[in-house]
Amino acid sequence: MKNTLLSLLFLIALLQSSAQDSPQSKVGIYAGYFGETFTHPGLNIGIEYYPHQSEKYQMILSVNGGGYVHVRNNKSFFLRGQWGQRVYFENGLFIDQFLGVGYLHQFTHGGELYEVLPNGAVVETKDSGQPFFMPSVSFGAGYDFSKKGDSRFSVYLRPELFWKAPFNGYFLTNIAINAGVILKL
Amino acid sequence: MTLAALLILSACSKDEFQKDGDFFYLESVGAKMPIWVKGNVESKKFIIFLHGGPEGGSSQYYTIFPSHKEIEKHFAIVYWDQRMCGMSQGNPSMDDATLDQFTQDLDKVVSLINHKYGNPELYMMGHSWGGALGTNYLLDHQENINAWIEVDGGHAWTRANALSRENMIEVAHSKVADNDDIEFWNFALDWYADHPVVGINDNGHYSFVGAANGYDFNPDSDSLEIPFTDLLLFSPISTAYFFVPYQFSFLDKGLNLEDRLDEISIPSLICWGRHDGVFPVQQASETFDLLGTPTEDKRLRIFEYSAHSPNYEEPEAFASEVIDFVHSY
Repeated sequence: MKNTLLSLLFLIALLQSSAQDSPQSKVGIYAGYFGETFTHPGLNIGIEYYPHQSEKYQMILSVNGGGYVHVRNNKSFFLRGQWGQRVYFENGLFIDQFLGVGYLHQFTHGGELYEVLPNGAVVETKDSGQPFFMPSVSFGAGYDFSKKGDSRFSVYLRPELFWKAPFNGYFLTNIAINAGVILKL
Repeated sequence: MTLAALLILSACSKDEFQKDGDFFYLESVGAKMPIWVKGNVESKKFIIFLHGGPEGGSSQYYTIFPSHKEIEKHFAIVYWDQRMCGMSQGNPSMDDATLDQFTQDLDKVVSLINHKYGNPELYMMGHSWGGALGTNYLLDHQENINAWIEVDGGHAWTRANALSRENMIEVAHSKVADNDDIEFWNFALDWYADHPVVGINDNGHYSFVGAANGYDFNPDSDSLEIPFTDLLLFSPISTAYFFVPYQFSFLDKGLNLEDRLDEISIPSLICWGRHDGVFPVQQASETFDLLGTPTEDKRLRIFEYSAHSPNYEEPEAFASEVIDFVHSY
């Protein structure tokens, strides 16, 4: 655990130093609220890499993970990769879009899980959860404070559609909201 | 600021949906089905509620009915979402979506309630499709249940569709004669000409029934206001309630349980809306007559200002009837 933490700190320090050497940062990290159907709360953290960028445009490759709780329905955890694009305006506002694919693991939430055995006995059973393929698409907007000062922070608000499959044999459409902060390293 | 607003919204979540009663799940043949027990558990009288649908149905939708809230003051109600319905989870096979499997799941619900609550007195109430499921369960397991309440039930769905088709053709002719949306009702007449037999999964028919107020006798009634936004944002209900893309093919073969109703002999209450366009009201008296229950132990109640769902169109009268019946047995 300690080694992992040290490795992470070293990586961030490395990224930070390389970012300071270049005119435009190539990497950002972000964290924020992930709300399934807006109000069922969760978190999402991730890292962005910008393989192509200019003053007004960024192509983005992102890896992020998170989870949420929908009370008395499910608690889910996901890990996914996203490809996106971000367009900046002179006043610091930006719009962006992402397409993603990932893995989501869902557990029931709110109560025990029972089985009735063939002999009629009722037993409590452990919920090992259910795996889902998780494609997603999102469109959002935000504000980049670095356009007007020294700050390396941006904020974003990004509605999203994501799917769980196979859910009862089909692709279940979910809606979500992402809201958070990006720190350019 | 946006984040703060969202967190405040989350804090406004409805305690009833997130904390009230007992909540647990039954896992059965690929399905993880939520069960919510609400109401007067101390009464030791539990009503297992069977929702309509089946696809698109959810028992959690019924928890907001004023009639159910009144009944919960007297007895516990067991709200169970059937496999591949409502908030039910898992990835069960469509091959297991059969009347037999739904019935086996229900038998497991009965076992689970008995296990968790020490064999309380059990009652069963089925609305629409739930009436068909409950009837099928009772044909083999009525010894487990004290009494049965069927509300505009679908145990004779094939015959219901034949009756309903005839009624809808009459309605369409009447509408055309009255110059009431002639284009739509002529379209309906053409549709029925092309469909001499209406199947359970023929959604066209149900659209016409809806347009003729066959579901809601009075669509403008205050009692019909369903807070769908609150349900979606602050309850266990998810988008799964709204986006069900399939139909259960086992219903294509029809449903004809009326010939075996004489095998059911437990006390029974038959509730029906006078203006039901889905399962026409003549089926209420037919059901009452066909049940094998001794006459003194069966009741028939027609609700004059209801169509398919007296449980929300006439909440006070419905709750009163059910409470009196359950107290009697």
